[in-house]
Parts: sequence; C-alpha cells; structure tokens
Amino acid sequence: MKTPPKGQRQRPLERLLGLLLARADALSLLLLAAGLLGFAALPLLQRRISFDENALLAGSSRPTIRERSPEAFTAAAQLAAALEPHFRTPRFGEQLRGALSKAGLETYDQPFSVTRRGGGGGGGELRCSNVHAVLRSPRGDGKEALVLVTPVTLQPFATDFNQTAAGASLAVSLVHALLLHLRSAPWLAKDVIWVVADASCGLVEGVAAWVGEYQQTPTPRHVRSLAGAAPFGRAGVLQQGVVVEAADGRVGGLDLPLPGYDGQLPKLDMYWLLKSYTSGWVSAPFAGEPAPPPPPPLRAAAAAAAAAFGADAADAEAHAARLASMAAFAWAQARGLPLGAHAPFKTAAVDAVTLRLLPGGGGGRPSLDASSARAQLAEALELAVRSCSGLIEKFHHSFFLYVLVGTRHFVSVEQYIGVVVAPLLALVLQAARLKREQDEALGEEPPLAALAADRAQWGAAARRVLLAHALCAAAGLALREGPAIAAAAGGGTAALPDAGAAVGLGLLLALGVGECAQLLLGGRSDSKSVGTSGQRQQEQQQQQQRAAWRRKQAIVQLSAAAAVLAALACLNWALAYAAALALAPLAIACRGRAGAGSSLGRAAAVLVWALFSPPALLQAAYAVSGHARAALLQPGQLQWLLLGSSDAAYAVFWGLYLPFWALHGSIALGGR
Amino acid sequence: MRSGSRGARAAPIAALLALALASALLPPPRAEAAGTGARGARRAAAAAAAPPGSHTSNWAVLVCTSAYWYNYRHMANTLSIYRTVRRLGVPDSNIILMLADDVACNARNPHPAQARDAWGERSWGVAAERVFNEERHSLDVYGRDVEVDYRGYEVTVENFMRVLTGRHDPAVPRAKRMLSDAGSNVLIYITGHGGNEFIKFQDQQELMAGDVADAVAQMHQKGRYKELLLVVETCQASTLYSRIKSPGVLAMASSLKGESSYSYLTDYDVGLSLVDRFTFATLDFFEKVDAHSAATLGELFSVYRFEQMDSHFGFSAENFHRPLDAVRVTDFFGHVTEVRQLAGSYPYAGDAADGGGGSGGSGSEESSGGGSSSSSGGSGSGDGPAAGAAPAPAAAGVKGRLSGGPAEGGGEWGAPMDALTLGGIAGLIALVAGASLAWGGGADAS
Repeated sequence: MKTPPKGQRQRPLERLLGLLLARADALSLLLLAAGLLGFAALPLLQRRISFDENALLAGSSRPTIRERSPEAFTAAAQLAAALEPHFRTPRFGEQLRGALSKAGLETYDQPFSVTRRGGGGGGGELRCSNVHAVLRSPRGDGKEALVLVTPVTLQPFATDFNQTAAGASLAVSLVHALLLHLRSAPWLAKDVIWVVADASCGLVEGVAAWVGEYQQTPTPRHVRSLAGAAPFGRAGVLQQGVVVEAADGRVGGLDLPLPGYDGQLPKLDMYWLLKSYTSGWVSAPFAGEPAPPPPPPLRAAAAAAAAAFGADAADAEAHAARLASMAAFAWAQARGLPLGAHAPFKTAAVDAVTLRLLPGGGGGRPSLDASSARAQLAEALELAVRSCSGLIEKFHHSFFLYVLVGTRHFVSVEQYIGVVVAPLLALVLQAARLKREQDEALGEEPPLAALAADRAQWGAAARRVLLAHALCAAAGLALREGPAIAAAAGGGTAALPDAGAAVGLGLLLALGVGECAQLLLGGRSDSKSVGTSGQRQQEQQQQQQRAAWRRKQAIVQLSAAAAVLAALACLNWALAYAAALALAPLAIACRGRAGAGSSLGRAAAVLVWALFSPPALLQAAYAVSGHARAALLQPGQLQWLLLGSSDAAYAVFWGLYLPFWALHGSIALGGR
Repeated sequence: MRSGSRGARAAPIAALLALALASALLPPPRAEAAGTGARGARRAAAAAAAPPGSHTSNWAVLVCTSAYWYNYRHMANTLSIYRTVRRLGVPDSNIILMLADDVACNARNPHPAQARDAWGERSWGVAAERVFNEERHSLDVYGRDVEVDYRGYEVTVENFMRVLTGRHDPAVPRAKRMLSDAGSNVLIYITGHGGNEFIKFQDQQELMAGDVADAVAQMHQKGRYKELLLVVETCQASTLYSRIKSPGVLAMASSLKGESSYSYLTDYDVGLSLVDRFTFATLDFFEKVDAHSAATLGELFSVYRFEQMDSHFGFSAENFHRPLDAVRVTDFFGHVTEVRQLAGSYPYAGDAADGGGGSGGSGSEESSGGGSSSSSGGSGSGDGPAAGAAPAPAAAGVKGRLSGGPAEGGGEWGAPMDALTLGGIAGLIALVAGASLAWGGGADAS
C-alpha cells in the first residue's frame, strides 16, 4: 500500500483503511477487550436446552421393563453374580458369551492391538478383544442400528480405566436386562448392538477399534483392529449410541462428559435426551447440580465488580459460577482430548454420549446399590432406546456447535463465534499496521535500489520465520516421539519425558534469547565504534535496517498466525480463541518500535512477554477453569503443555505460539 | 262417476291403513309422515325448516400431508374423518383418500396394522391420570377396508390440485379421480404442518392459500361442485382459505392466523399423541351422529371451544348463502342417492308422478305419496328388506288398479323402515288392501 502523492484524492476505501490503521493500537486493544469481555458476558446469552427434534417424541412413553419383563432382572442378577468372581479372567468372557447366546443373540469377537506411547505401562503393544452382540429388530427393516457400549476391563491388566468387579458386573447386567426386554419390545424399529468394549487397552481405544472396524473408518494411529478371518457381525448403519461407563458397583452420581476428539460434540438433543431421562428415572444426583461455587479468584472478582457497580452480590457470584463452568467446558474443548469413550463415534458421524456412573460418596445422599441402580438405569436407557428408535434416521434439527453453561443451559455458535473473531481481527490489524509502517519507512517514492533491498529483506524475514517454525516443530516432534524412539532403542524410558521437556525448554530459550544475545553483541560492537559522524550515520542506518527487518518478520508471522487460527476456528473454536488471546497482546505490546522505545515502554513489553510465557498462560487457564491448585507449577502439567495434547493443540502450540513468543521476545528484549 | 265411487270406497281403507301403521309406530309425529317412519319424520321436519338440500351426490377428498412416525396424529386425523364419512354413507368410490405415510404398518407401532384414535378414552380435561389407571377403549380408525387412493410420495401438491380440478393424465384410473359435477357437494379435509397461507406437503413442497383458491375457482368454473366445505386442521389454518372467493364455499379451520393447533393428549402406550384437538372435537361430535341425523353445521360449529383446543375455531361463510342452522352435517359428511324415475322405463310412470312427483325426496313425503326417492345410501341394509317387501305384494294391488286408475290407495307404498316385522305387517296389510281393492274393482266392472 503506497501513500499517493499529495494533492491526489484518495478513494473512500483507502481513506477508511488509513483511518483504521492510524488508530490500529487503540482498535486492537478494543478488540482484545471485546474478546475478553464478550466471553465473560456469554452466560448472559445462555438459552435453556430444549428438544429440537420432534421425532424423538421425548417424554411420550413410559418404561415398560419392570412390568413386562420382570424375569429380565432376575436373569441379569444371576449373570452379575456369576460374572463377578471371574473379573479380569478369561472365564468372564466365556460366561458372558454363554449368556448372550442363551438369550438368542448373535455374538462376535474382535481382537485389536494398541501401541501405548510411554506412560506407566512402559509402552509396547497390548492385545485386547472386544465382544459384541446383535439384537435384530423383529419388524424393522434392518437398515439402521443403535449401539450400547459397556467398557469392561476384560484382560488381566488395565491402563487408564480402573474398574472394580462390581462395576463390570453392574454395567454388563444392566444392558443384559435391557436387551432381554427389548427382544419382545413391539416398538423396536432399529437393530440394537451391544458392545462390551475391552477397556484393558484404554477406555477410548477399545471403542475406537470397534467403530473403525464396523464403519471402516480410520482409527487413531496407535489402534489397530485385528479382526481378519473371524466373522464380524454387522447390523444396519450406526445411528445413535450410548456408552455406559461404570467404574464401581455403587452409583453415587451421574455425569455426561461431552467433548470428544478436538472438542467435537454430539448433537445437543442426544445429551438432553439422556440428561432428562436419567434425571427423571434415576434417583442419583447429576454432576454439576447444583452448580459448584466459582474458583476463588473469579469469586473475588465478581464480588469486587458487584461492589463497584452496585449490583447484587449473589447475582454476580451466580454469573461467575456460570462463567467458570462455561470456561471449564471450553478449556476441555481447547485441549482436544476425548473426555469419554463416545468420542470415536463422532468420527463415524454417529451421535453418541457417555453416561458415566460416578462412585459417589459425597453430597450426603446415599449411593444406589447395584440392583436398584440396574433397574432405574435400565428404565432410563429403555426410554432413550425407544426415542432413538422412533427417530427417522439421524438427528435433523439439533445443535452440534455449542457450549454448555451448567447442565441445563447452552450458548450456541452464532453467539460465541464473535468472541473468537475479535482477537483474530486484532492480529490482522497489527499485521496491516506493521506493513503500513514499513511502506512509510521506505518513503513516498521508493527508489529502485530500495525496492530491491526491500524484496531481499522480505525473503530473509520469511526464511527466518520458517526456520523458527521448523525448529519448534522439530523440537516438539522429538519430544513427542522421544519415548517411543527410546523404547525402540531399548533404553530406560521413565525419566525421558521429563528430560525431553527440559531439552524443549532449552531449545526454546536459545531461540528467544539467542536473538537477544546477538543484538547485545551487535550493540557492543556498535558502541565500540562510536566515533566519527560518518560512522554514526552508518550505525543509524544499520539500526534502521535491523528494525525494518524485524518488522517484516513480525508481519510474516502475524499473517500466518491469523490465517492458521481462522482456519482452526472452524475445527476447534476454543483452541483458536485461546491461541488468539495469547498472541494478540504479544503482537500489540512486543514489537520493536524503531528508535522510539522509551525505557518504560520496553519494560512493559518485557512484562507482557513474561506474562504470556507458557507456564504463566497455563496457570491462568487453569485458574479460570477452577483447577488452579492442581496446576501450580507441576512438572507434569508443564510437560503436557510442551508435548501438546490433541494433534491440533500440539500443532498450534509448537507451530504458532512458541515461535511467535520467541520471536517477539527477541524484539521486546532486543529493543530498538 | 266410477272413479268417484271407487275413491269413496277406497278412502276408508286407506284411512284404516294409515291408522294401523300409525299405531304400530311410536310415536308418530305427523300423520302424513307415518308411512315413511321416524326417519322420514325427522327429515321432513328439517326440510320444513330449510330449503331442500338438492345436491345429487357427495364427494370427499381427505388429505394427510405429512409423513413419518411422529406425525401419526395427522394420519389418524384423516382416518378419523374417513371413518366418519364412511359411516355416514359415503361410498369408497366417492372418497379420495391421500395418506402420506402408513403408520399402521410402521415398525414403531406397538399395535401393528392399527391406527388408533384417542376417541372414547375420556372426555376433555381430566384425562391425564386416567390414561394409566383405566383400560383404554381407543378407536381403531384403520380397520380392515381402508382404501388409500394416493399414498406415500404420491401425496404431492400437484396430485392434490389435479384431483380437485380433474385435470389428470389419461392413464390415471377412475378410482383416483374425483368425478363430481355441478350437483355434487364436496368435502375437502386437509391436515398437516402449516403456517401463514401455506401447508407443507412431505416437508418438501408447500400448498399456498392462492393455490387452494385457484383450484376452487377452477372447480367452480368447470362445474365440479354445488357446495364445497373445506376443513383445515393445521397451525394458522384459517389463512389457508383466506383467498377463496368462489361461491358456495364454506370453510372451517382449527386455528386463526398467528395461532398454533395443538395435539391431543399423549398416549404413553403408543408413545405419541394420537390425534389433534380440533379433529378430536369433530370426531367426538360425529360419533353421536348417524346417517339420519338432522344435526346442522351450526351445531357442529358450536362444539369447538378455546379451553379445549387452545386455539380459536375459525370459519368463513362469506361465500356460502344458506344459513348454517339449516345445513345438515350430512349434506357434506353424508351421502345422497337419488333414484330417478325415468319416463318410459316403467309403464306406470304417470301414475307415480301423479302420486307425488318423485324427484324431490321431501316433497314426495309431504304429499304422503309413495315416492321412493331420496333414501340415504348408508342405511341401505335397513331399507332393503322393507322396500323389497312392500312393492312385491303391492304388485297385486297395482295389477288390480291397472284398470281402476290412479289416485287411490298408495298409502302402503311408504313402508316403515325401522324393522323387518313392521315391514312384514305393512306388506300383509297391503296384500289385504290390494286384494280388497282388486275385488272391489272387479265387482264394479262386472
């Protein structure tokens, strides 16, 4: 963008852009504030969840299992008693298959293997085997199927799911009773598949292997289905699913964890269906009801705001509690790790939720024993199956981009997306402002030589940014795959992630501080040669060049960040929002003003740079979502941040945030 | 002279006959009507109050525009009206039934091959707890002999418009056409999901109020109806007929502009709502109506109450010129079968015409003549034996009258319809009277 010669009239769009860029800093700050305040205000826009899908006919029927199939519960209790002593032995699976075939269900096995990355097991390949049974709908057309999943640790070992024998027998007997009843249900229009997923190799991995085999969708890299020659029975296209996750035989509470891979969510109606049926038919409290109090910093802030504006303190605290619950949900989405075993279903376009039975104990309410929990849960599940069976194919009308505010309210995508766009726009604005400064520094009529130098400088800046990205990505990759490489090499692995984290931090600091040191050295060499006016002029010129070069670096980096984050917002809005929030203040504060940095300004820039360092950001994120104490400088947490969590979070952290932070640290520390 | 003496001789016999019949029927409202029975009496009373409904046939087009299991109630609505018009005498050949889905055979239906209507379960209001505590007597409106003319994806706006206007592809069979004429009374019932000036067909198409008005205007110009009753059960139903300007059109709606139409109580066994409130109220009214009823549209219109429907009943009579209190519901929901006595086809046509005209049903009754016109088709089983019993023995009398001439006797023609025994008595009396007449005529002649 070149400033036109004086006297020539600018076009309106140019004038508008000029006006905007002249006030770029103020506007950026304003956008950033809007992004932050907008997020804090989002609970004000919350809507009560209600069913969008009429075809679910939710609440239009009553459970019939108790009155029509009392024998199902007796059979289930017998099965539970028979299974419990054989937990984690091969006899468990044999008895289960026997009961299934006795009930007239087709039964199939699906072996699979999981390669663990590091962790307590020390890596290596684990072998497990899923079991599933198919109940054909007597009058349905066999084109559609519902899935009920009960993760059970079938092997003698366990990884991330600590299940007791009572928990396993509760889960299995519950669904067994339901299937015995469904055999004679006159309304069943879709086939029902019951998957006893082998959770010994991991809660999510077992389901991922099964879904991948059933729908022939790609599984995660470390999960491999081994179902080859053995028959793998299928029913119709999977439409909806419910995962019943029982860790213990006594039920003290219920939870429906929603975010799956990369924060992807099942349809809101699916959540609400299970929520309303379990609330209605199971006498166990629901996690998050009543809403827990907000974390202390938020509560203090709410009290202060209420005092300052004369608002009702209770209202302010309730708002803070909603904000905390929403932030926790968004944070879980941003991390991108699946919270429940329903996550793999989303990759196959199946709407599924996890119903987690909490062992309970708290709240003063007595927890349900196995037999009443079995009966009540079977009733709730029967209604859920009936509603899904009544549905025509899939959900047609429900939200799948939303953020839960508490357990009964939500904010939908058209409301929260503005909050993401605001800090992204601040990044774009900063890039444009830097470009404008660059053009102005070149002068009104850039000579040909200057233009050539300009081109060379641009190339150098882009190369430097690319190098930074490559360095960071290589460091991340080395850290992530380090344990596996070490395991393959046969070395000790326990200390390796920590060592990897240390190496990563060192690389990072070298990148950031190395620039600084170079500048300092350069400055010293400059200061040595203070002398003649000609030398001073040359020095000034050099300094100007260096500033221009750094600006270009920042422009390239900022533009790339804005583009990547904008694309990311479509996949994982929460991650894009968190990254944009981290990058925008850095972009505003930590840019070297050529020859204009006061010492105060530089101090502020350094402060911002420190505040937005990875440990500080992690601490802030955990404080907002209410886990501050747990996160307080735990090496494990820092390690998680350095390694990344989901693939997207990993890529954003290593590819965008860290190079940007390092580059701008060099600008902030290096100064003029 | 001779005829006079014959008349004088016949008069007491006729009087005796009338008396015998009148005592046999209790209570005989009018002496002239005694011969045609209680139904005739009611009909005569209605006819006295209103100008005669002189339509010559009835047609019904019953449309359910929405498919899928959860729209069960729309199918049930339509089948309820189908049941009503069938029961009131409209033959299947005169009903075009359009059902967008087959809920009765849906795998989700716990009662296969049945479509239930909530009617009979309870009265309004207190029903909720009685659903569980009492045994239900819900009505199976599907039955064993439903004839669906357009089903599934055949239920489209185009087909609906073609049925109304009669502009079909030559290959469309007669059973799928409405073969009405300028003497026909047409009932159109349509239910589904709708809004301001439209109703959805199959979630894909919309029938606009302008389309309906256009189709009705074409029907009028082509002489496809005498009077037309349009019944709309959907949200904002009254907007669907708002553009109709054709004469002879009466329209009813379940709700006014800006209002929703609501479903009736949920059936927890079937797992959804079985019927909509407006149709439930309509069915509730019609279940007390039989083919001979003199109930009027005015009475029907007074049963819709806001407290029951949560929507305001709407109707439009601006294009309709008869007072609603004088229009029997059977003019649209029932059927008329006209038996025309054609000149020349029967040697005694002239005699019969003397006896009472024979074209207008009520006219013949008032003159107490023996015109066998205007019997309602639906009650054919009641009519049959009596009507069959009367003329056969009377043939003897007629034979005797052949030389005797017209104007006497005749009271025996309108045999009582109520029971076989009465018909038998009448036939016996007719035999005696005829024989005496024949004997008397013979004496005179000799």
